[in-house]
Amino acid sequence: MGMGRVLVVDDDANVRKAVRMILTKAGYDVVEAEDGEKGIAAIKTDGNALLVDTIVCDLYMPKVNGMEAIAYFREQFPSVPVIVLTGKPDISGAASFFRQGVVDYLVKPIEAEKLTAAVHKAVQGHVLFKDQFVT
Amino acid sequence: MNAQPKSNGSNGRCTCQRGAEEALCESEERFRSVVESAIDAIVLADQEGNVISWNRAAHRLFGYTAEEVAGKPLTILMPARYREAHQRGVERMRANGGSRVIGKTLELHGLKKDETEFPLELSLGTWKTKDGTFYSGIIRDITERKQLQDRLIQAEKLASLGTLVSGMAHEINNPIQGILGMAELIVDETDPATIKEYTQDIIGYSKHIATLVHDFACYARSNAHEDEVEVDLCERLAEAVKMVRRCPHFGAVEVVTQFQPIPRLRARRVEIDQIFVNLVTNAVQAMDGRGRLEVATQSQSGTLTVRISDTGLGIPKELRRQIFDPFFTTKEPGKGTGLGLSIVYQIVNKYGGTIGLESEEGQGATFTVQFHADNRREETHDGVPGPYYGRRADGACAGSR
Repeated sequence: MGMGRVLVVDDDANVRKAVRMILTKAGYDVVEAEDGEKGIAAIKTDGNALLVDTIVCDLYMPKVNGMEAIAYFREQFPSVPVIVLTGKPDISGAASFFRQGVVDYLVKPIEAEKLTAAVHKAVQGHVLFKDQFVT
Repeated sequence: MNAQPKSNGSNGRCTCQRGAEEALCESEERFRSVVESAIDAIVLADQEGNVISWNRAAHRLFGYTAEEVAGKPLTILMPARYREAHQRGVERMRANGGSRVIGKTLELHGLKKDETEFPLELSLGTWKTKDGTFYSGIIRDITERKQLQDRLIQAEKLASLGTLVSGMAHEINNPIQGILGMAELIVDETDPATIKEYTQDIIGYSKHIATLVHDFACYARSNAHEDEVEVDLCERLAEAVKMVRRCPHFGAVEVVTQFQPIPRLRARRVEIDQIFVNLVTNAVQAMDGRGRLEVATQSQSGTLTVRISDTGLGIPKELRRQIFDPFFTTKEPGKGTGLGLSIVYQIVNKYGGTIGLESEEGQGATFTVQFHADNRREETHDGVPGPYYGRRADGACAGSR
C-alpha cells in the first residue's frame, strides 16, 4: 500500500482515468466506481471502510447520485473524508455539503496539484484518525 | 347593427306600439342592446352566407361599416385559403343541414378591410325560420392572447436554455478535466508511448467538446428548418436517456431498450432531442425514481415509430385530451410550466408526424411518436393543425403531462 487508498466515484470514464492517473502518480492506490451505487458497494468491500482513506465523489450520476451516496458515506462511515469533485457547482449545494462534513468541494477542471493537495490533506487526517483510534 | 328585416327608423329603433307586436319589438330592442354593447363582434348571415347583421364591435374589429358589408359574402372577412372550405360548408349545410363546426369554437384567422390578417376565435350558431337557415358568429380577437402565449413559450424555451447551459457546464467540464489532467501528466512524462496515449485522449476529449458546443449553437439558433440533417432516431433516443440519467430524479429506474434499425429522419437534431428529452423526463418523473423505462424504435411501411413507456402512475382518462394543451400541467405550482408536451407536439407536427398516448391509470403510460420516412411538411391550409391534432383513432390524445 502506498500513500493511502482513494475511492473515486464518477460516471465519466474520462474523469476517472485522469484522476486515477494523477493520484497514482502521486503515490495513491485508486479504486474506481462509476456511480453512487457502485461506490457504496466498493466501500463496503471486505466490510472494512477503513481500507479507504478518502472518497472523491462526483454529484450528478445515474442510479444513486452523488448527493445520496455522500449522505450514505457520511452517515455510515463518518471517519472517511469525502471530497466533492463536480462540474456543476453551486453555492448553496456546497454549503450543504460542508454542513454534512465534506472536507473539500472541488470544481472540474481541477489542476493536478490542487487535487493531490486536497486528497493528501484528507488522507493525512484519516491516517491520523486510524493511528489514534485503531490499533 | 344593420340589415335587421324588422327594424324601422333612421336610428334603427323599432316603432311598433301595441300587443304581440309590441312585445316582439321589446324583445328585439333587448337583443339589439345586447348585441350592440357586446365586446365581441357578432355577425349574422343568411343561408347563402351573406351578411345580414353587423354590430359595432365587428366594425371596430374588421374595419367595415355595417353599410359596407350588408349583403356581402362572409368570404370577404377571411383569408383566401379558407374560402373554398367555407363555401363547401355553406353548400353542405344548405343541402342536408349538416355541419361539423356549428356549436363549436374554432381558432382561425380573419381578414380586415385593410387586408391584414389577425387570429380570432369563432363560435358558430345557426337557427331556422320559414325563410331558411341563418348563421350567427361570435368573433373574438385573440391577437393579444396569442402574443402572450408566444412570449410564454419563448420564456419556456429560454428557461430550458438555462437548464441546458447548466447541463452544458457539467458536460464540458468533464472532458476538460480529462484534458487538463492528461496535459499535466504529459509535462513530466518521458515515455513516448505514454505521451502518445495521453495525447490521443486529449484529442478525443477535445472533439467531444467541439460536438457539444456545436449542438449548443444549433439549439440557440432560430426555429427555422436550417441545419436539418439526417437524424438517427435510435442514437438521439439513447442520448436523451443518457442526458436524463444524469438528473437526480432518475433514481433507480431500470432502462430497457429495443432499437430496431430504422431509416434516418431529416430534421434539426436539437428539436428531435427536445422531443425525446421531454418525453423521457416526463416518464422518469412519473415513476418517482422506481420503475421501468422502455424505449423502442421500429420501422414499418415507411412509418418510423418511437415508443417511450413508463410504469408510473399513468394518466387519468379525463386528462388525456388536455395533456398537449399549452400550460396544462398536473405538477405542483412552480414545478412545471405545462409547456413541455405542448412543445413536443409542436415539433412533431412541424415534421408531419403524430404523437399518441396509451395509458391505464396506475399502470404507466406509453407515448408513441410516428414520422413518415419521407417527412415532407404537411402544411395545414388554415393554421389549424392537421388531421391528427390532439387525438388518434383510438381516442388517445397527443400532448403534455
